[in-house]
Amino acid sequence: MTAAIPRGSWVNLYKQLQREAKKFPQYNYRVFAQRRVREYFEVNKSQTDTQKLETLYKEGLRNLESIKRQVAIGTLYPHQQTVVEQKLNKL
Amino acid sequence: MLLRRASRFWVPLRGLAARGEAPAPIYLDVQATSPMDPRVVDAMLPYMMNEFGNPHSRTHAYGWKAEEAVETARKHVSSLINADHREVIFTSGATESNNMAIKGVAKFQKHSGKNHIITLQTEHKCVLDSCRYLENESFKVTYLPVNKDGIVDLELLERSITPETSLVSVMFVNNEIGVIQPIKEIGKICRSKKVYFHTDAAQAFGKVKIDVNDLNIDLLSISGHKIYGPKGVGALYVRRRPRVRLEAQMSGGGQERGLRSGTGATPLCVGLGEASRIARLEMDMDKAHVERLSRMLVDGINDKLKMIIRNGSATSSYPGCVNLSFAYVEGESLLMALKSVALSSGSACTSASLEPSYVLRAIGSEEDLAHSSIRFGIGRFTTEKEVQHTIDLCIRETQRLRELSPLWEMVEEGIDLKTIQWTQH
Amino acid sequence: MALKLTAKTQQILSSASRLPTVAGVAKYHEKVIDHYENPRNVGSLDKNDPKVGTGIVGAPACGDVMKLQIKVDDNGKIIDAKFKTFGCGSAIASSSLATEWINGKTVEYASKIKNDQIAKELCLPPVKLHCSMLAQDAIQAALKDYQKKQAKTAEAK
Repeated sequence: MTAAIPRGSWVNLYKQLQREAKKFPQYNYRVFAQRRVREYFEVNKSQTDTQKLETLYKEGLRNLESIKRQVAIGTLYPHQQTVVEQKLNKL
Repeated sequence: MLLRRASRFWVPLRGLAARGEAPAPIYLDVQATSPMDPRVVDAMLPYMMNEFGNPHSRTHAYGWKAEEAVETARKHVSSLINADHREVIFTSGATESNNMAIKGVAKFQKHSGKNHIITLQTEHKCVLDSCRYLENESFKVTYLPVNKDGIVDLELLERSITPETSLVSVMFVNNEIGVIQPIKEIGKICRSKKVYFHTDAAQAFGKVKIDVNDLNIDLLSISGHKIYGPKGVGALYVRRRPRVRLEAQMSGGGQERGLRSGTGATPLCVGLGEASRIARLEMDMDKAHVERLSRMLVDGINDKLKMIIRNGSATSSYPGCVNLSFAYVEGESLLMALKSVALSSGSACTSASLEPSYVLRAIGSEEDLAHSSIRFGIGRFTTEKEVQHTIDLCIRETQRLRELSPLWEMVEEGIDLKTIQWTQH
Repeated sequence: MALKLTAKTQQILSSASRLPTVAGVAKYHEKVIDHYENPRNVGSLDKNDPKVGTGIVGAPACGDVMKLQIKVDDNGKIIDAKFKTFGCGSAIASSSLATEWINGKTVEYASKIKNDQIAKELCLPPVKLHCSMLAQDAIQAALKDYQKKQAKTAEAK
């Protein structure tokens, strides 16, 4: 029987995901990633099956790596700010 | 870390963000195409760089790895529609899938004397064009009308089926007005009359729950770039039990079970597979998000403006596709006013001919309203601030253009526009 | 496999050669956009005034309706011109330009304005030439209406 993943690890994973998601240069991807991470955690917060929790944790780590790679690639190519982003920056 | 001064705060420079250039417009045209999900790009890149093998090479590891990737993608696609992975064939897009389904089935069934096809007037251009091509090859095609909500009359459909009918093709979600057809009932009718049922689910796949067994669908077209996947790939679901027989349109090495020859595009198929996997996991979250924003948009515009007509049924429609007609304001001039938002219009000026959209005409929309229609597409990546910006801009510009419009002036004076004799030129 | 972006990596990444951005293709000529965003002479004149000629051309079904009104003094000079248009950006620009050109000119000058002059001034693409045609029709219709009113007042006298 695998040991349950401690709450601290989940909190750490969440914080890391949010921190990496904030680095997306594209406004739409950035807002989407932050929102989707929160939604995933909210939908699964009452999950108790350890097997499923472990799969979800691994999936979370995989997504974290994916976000890091895509952020790096996103910074390599030029992108334009959208209208809404400019408005938000002016505030 | 490179820093840049923005207002009062030091803000980290976001990569190579272009400075001082005009900002990009907000993207609200998701029905035309959708931006790729970063996770899909991430899944595709290895197959565009190091894992470049041909999935049909059976003799070395490059081929085996590529084949494994394509088969995994196939499983992801099929599990989203509750089909068997052997029933999914990768194509170059929904247009090719539609062509394969319609022309393939029609030509195969001609041998047993069945040469009648039924479709709707609001179908996508590729379906209508395939039917027109078949008409030239001496097939009979019935184009059924739709009611003003955009939904087909089931009794009329049942009456139109004859012993010579081989195929019924009905779109799941319309790409212009977002209307959802009663697919379950149509599937039941077709199954009872032993007629093949094809549905173009390019806009519905990954957004609406589809179960091909529950809905009695025999053929289903899928498009990659409508579900945040890559462009240039699609799929066709072909039922095996009971077997649907098609005549292959592409001759060659017999790939894809002999139905579609040609080297499988590994990165594109992997992209479609990943997009399908994500769609299956996140369909409910996406649905909630899109519904919320869609309601915000419609309520926000209707609160401040009068005479805004929604094209298509408001109840049986996909919330991410909202087609509104702004009466007494011309569509293209409104689009020009909304240039900071990327939208599409059903008006004539934006199409090559001077004819307004045939879909709007089929639902009985009056010509001047068809000229004033705008299609708003809301997707996974649309944010609340973007929708709010669009609402504010729409209200402001419509009011300005109505001040410019002689029709609005006449309506405010109480003149009924239908009584006026217009000069035609 | 963790990916850590150190300060040095960031520097290298940001100094990588910039790829050219795709320049936005301007769909409309600047003159059309200028007339569209700052239309001149928008409004209405009193259509019951005997000195005012009103021309309404086009049809909502075609997607273009132009209403052009001119106020003419006793010397045959147009002292005021106003327009209202239901149509695309090129239609609004054509009618705005038309009112700008005929304002302060004689009736003869206005009747000689041709659609290709309007199209050339605004650099209209071939698919939009019908907008300039409609603007010419609108001027002609307004002049005709004015002449009809003049004939009626002459009769009444």
